[in-house]
Amino acid sequence: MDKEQKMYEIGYLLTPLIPEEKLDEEVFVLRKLIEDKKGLIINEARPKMRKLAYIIKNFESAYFGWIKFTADPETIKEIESSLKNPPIGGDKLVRFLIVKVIKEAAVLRPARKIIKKKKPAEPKEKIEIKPEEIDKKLEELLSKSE
Amino acid sequence: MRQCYFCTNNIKEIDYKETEILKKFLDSYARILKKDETGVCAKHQRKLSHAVKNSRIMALLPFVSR
Repeated sequence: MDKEQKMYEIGYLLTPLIPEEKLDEEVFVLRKLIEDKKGLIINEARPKMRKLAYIIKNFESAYFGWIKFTADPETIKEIESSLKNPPIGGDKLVRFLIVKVIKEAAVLRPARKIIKKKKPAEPKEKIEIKPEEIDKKLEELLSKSE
Repeated sequence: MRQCYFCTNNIKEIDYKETEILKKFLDSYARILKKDETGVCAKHQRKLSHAVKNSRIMALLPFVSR
């Protein structure tokens, strides 16, 4: 059962016509929809007013929020279709997007940079040569050439 | 050679919500930059383009600008 569960994320835009105090009610409708389909909500962000990149339905800005949850792949279609059709979506849901997310990526969010560790170069073994030995060798060479 | 931005920052999945990161890979007309312009590896370029497109659907990024 657990293996069948996959993680999804719903991103949604709510109309700016909703007053701030009533936002929670709208989010609750979405949450209830997921929980009715036996989805488990893992993480969510409160909808925030933000400017849209382009005008949708004559709105220049909207509340953007998202919910992360796990659900069966089969139920996700039901969730999608019930969002598309009013009354759950209604006029209040401007737009939504369901994406699959990988579990690991959702939990871990490392922002650190990988710094390549430089291994300290191993000091080369210095061969110590005593000056007397050099003299000896030189003498040997000289004697040979003579 | 430039290294892939997402590989160096250890980002496995590219999130469509992080518009600040995605904007780095768009030109002034909000077009997605080519792989050889961004220096992103093939795997991440693929994910990047999906993320940008999802982001456009949600109106977080423009389809066209100017």
